[in-house]
Amino acid sequence: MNAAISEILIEDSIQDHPWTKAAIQAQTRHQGFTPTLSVIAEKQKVEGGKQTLLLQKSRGELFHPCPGTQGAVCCNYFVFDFLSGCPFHCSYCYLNAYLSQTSLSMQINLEDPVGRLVERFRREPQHLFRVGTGEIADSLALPASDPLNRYLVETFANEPNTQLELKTKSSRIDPLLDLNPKGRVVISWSMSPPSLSQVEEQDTATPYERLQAARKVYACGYRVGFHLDPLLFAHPDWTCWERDYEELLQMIFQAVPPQAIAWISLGGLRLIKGLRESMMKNFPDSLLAYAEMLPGSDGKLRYPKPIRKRMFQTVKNMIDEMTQEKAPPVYLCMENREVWRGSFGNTPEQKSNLRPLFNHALPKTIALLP
Amino acid sequence: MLAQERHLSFVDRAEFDRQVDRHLLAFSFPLEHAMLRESIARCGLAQPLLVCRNVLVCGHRRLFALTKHPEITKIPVLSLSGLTLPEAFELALAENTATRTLNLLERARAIACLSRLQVSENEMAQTWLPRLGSKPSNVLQAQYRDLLRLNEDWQIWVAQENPHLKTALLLAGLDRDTQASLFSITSQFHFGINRLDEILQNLKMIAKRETRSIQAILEEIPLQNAEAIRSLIHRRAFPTLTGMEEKFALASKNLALPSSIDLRPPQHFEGDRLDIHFQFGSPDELKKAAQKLLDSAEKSDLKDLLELL
Repeated sequence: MNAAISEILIEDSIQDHPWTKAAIQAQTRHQGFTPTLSVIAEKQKVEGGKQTLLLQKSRGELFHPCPGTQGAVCCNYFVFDFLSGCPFHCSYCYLNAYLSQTSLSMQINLEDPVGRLVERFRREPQHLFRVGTGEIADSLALPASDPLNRYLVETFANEPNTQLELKTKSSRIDPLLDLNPKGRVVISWSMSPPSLSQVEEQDTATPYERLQAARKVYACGYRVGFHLDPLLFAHPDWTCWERDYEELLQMIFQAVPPQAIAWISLGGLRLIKGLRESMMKNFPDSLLAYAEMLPGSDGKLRYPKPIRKRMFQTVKNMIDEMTQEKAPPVYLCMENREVWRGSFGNTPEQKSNLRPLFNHALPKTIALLP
Repeated sequence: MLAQERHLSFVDRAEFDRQVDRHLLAFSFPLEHAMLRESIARCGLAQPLLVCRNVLVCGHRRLFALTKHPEITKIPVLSLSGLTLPEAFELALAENTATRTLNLLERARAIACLSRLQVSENEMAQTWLPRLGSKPSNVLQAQYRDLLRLNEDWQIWVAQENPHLKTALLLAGLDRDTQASLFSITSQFHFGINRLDEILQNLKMIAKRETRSIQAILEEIPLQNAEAIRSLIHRRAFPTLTGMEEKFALASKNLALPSSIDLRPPQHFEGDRLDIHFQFGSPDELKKAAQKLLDSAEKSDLKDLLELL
């Protein structure tokens, strides 16, 4: 796993901020050498690849509802985007076509944005706020973000109507292990079968390493989540596909008990405009871009509906069989009601273990954990 | 403005052929130009050939047309002096682009000319591409070069049909045997640009997915007519979608709705509603259509249709 940063650019207005120094120290300590440091003007255009990190002053609102997608069932998720970009090289990652720059960036002065967040949490105590930082970034891959991740964990741990989700494909959990998340922090991993991960998720921790990390954080009081999203269908051979995903699920449930799992999400591969071409060009060994995919009403390419339904149904059945009555909540990401019905036989509101995720009510099972 | 002196003379054709390099700055393509040939047959060369430092600068098509007229033994030549070859090339480009847009192959050939003149890649991209009518871009410059991997037949097709660069690049990415097979099919069945583009995209997907060559896939396709070929390749690229479309067509047919009632699935079957459109011109026609629809609601075929959603 390689997340080395060779250059850190620091906006002049936050160069003396304690978290700027802490971020540089954390990055240096992790990689064993100090990146080149340069102070730049605010909003200066930055060019550079994934080895360049921009530390910037926070501007605008970082907290907002997940945009979801047109026609999809919404799971009432919020995002807190203080990180942008990812050091990994996943062939299918929508950031490859979504972000205008490949360099990484982190907003430093989070006191005010987080202060506003806490005010909102306390103003609406009957609301469950599920908040993630991994919408346009990997939450834990970048060592420089350790100090701010610790700050977020400590903050959310004290807010009873919240769940902070740190989503990653890394295994860098050690910096968080000494904290007490009080059951209000979910560390979650995107998971793909090892054979696919090896080709499609370059530089990430292996699925096995991710699960070892999951086991560790669970032992330290965190809940864990898994995102089988995107479900990848590289070749039209259902037998192989089912075997791959069955093995993956077995690995997951051997690593952590079902009751440790806050949720498992399922989502079919979705390609935003320009991503298919970028995959063909930049990931010639990947077959994913050549699968049968069709544009939906939101303009994204997806596997045809019968394939998606079969994938979701198959994986859901496997989870149910492996976990029996301890089955964790399983939900679909970015899918409409009719795919929910076709895959699970019902919609999220009809499923008792999903109602909390989808109707904003404060769930006893989640919010009142240790 | 480029400083230059011009001197007009009539040169013996054999002498011209011996002394003048006609390839170094040649970018006009294709050279065959029927109207020019006829014009020369009627009136001779109306414009002199432009030569600089013993290199033909303008008049490659005219010279080519002259091969059909061995009886013309003296040709008018305007010799330029005071210019470097890149300057002469700029002049040739200016003369051409003032009256027409260069086709993709001419741009590719112009890039090749510049390479022969030792122009750096960056200068080509930033300075010369705009003179060829393109935006300045290193990527584009490399893509134009790739077009020269097309065989002669495809080069002429691209020059004449003017497809999108993406389509031309797809063709250029094929090996020579596959290019030849595909050209034979294209010329036999007269695929238009859009159809060829669709076929190419689909062939590329199938080949990658099935880890087979496009050539091997083409050999398996029965060559009946253009639409049948397109349809077979489409079906193989989109097996699930075409399967749903066929089921939908069959179940719709079984509903036996009159032709005035048009029943449609949502696009790509993404959605949970069928769409019905019908026309009527009298209360009677409306009643009949409504009755047919009511009848269809009782049929199991309607359930089959709805299950596709």
